[in-house]
Amino acid sequence: MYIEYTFTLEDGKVLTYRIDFNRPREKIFETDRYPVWTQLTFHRCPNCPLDIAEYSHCPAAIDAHEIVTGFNEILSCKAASITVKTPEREYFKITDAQTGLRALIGFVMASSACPILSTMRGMAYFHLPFASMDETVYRMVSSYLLRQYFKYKKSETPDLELSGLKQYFQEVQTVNFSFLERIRAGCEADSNLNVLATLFTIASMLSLSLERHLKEIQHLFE
Amino acid sequence: MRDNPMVIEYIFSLESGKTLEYAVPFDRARETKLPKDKYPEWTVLEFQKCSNCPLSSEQHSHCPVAIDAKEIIVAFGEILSFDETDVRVKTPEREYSKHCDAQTGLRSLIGFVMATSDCPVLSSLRGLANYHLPFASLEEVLFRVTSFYLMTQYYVYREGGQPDLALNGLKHQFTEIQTVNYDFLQRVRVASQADSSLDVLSTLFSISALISLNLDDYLDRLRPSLVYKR
Repeated sequence: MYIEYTFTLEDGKVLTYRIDFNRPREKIFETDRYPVWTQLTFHRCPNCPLDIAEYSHCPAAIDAHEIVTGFNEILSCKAASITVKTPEREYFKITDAQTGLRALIGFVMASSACPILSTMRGMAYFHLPFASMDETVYRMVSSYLLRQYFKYKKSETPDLELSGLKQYFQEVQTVNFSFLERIRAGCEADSNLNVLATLFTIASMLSLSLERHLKEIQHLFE
Repeated sequence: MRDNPMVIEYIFSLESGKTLEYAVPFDRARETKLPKDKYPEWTVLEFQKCSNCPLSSEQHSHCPVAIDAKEIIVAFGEILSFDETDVRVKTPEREYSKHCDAQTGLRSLIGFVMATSDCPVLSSLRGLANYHLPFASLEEVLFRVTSFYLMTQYYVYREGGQPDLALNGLKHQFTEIQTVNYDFLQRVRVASQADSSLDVLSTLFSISALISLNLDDYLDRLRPSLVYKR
């Protein structure tokens, strides 16, 4: 499955990103093939479960490195027309450049080989570009509940308190925070990376206020 | 919460160059009693009333779905006379588009209309229609319907009730919805003997038989995409 993001900027310039949902990669790369900041041990997330003997690079960093080209140019425009092509349909929105890039980066990270972020892989499979806060809360929680349903079916104990989800958000926040450190430290060499820093905010917002957001959308489920 | 009333717009661009637009508000408040001469006979509640309809004829003069269908059906025949069409769907959050066969586009539109109608059976899908996804594939429908139901069960649990994780309630809902689909198709078939413009509705309905589940089997098949591990 491919997803294609096309940004049409105000000056008429068009930038396209084509992302494969499945991106199998080697675990060990030659050190000089990718920039230093993508190496696994460079500002490695404290909760990273990957074994440094097995993995030379951070999978999310490699993914970010590959798509960050052109991000600065996109962000220098206030608004962009963004078309997202998936196998099922096309999505379109004229919006601020950040919203578009956040949707793209969100998909890339959730479909990366990072063992923590890829917990959202099922959700990424049903990717919804430009999701609002309400939509994000709904999608996160309902996907989590679907996994609880599968647990229930296997006679395991389902977690309806969402404790696992809240704990997961904390893990994601740790990854976000450390990933930002990685990027900041790598930024001197690559100014494109700056923009990534602005894009990692949703998870931290959610982990603080999940209950409030769930109350706000409750009326839809009664 | 929404600041503006939600309206979904379906725009069909036909190969002839003609464009047809339908704007459907999410909330369509209607009187429960409508004048008989204002709507055709086949929309009257008692005309081929669904066997599981909980509405009482004393309070409701017409079938809410039939009224909605009647109002939206204009030009459906023209759209269906083309094999393929470009469909654009505008919602408050974004636009969706697809080049597809005319039936797929109309089915998506009619699905939204029915789920947001005042029909007490179909409106169990109303909350889901709030997150309307045009041209949903079977896999997407399944994911949406099941996860939506589980959200309602989460809130049941939160309020101290007994959540239904076996999905029994969902399966029951589907049985009811299927009865409505079937009976509504009968209504339309009988009506179209007198009014051939209704033929299109019966075509759409005979293919819309939702998920005549084996829900459990479908979900098992869906599972690898949801709990994917590398």
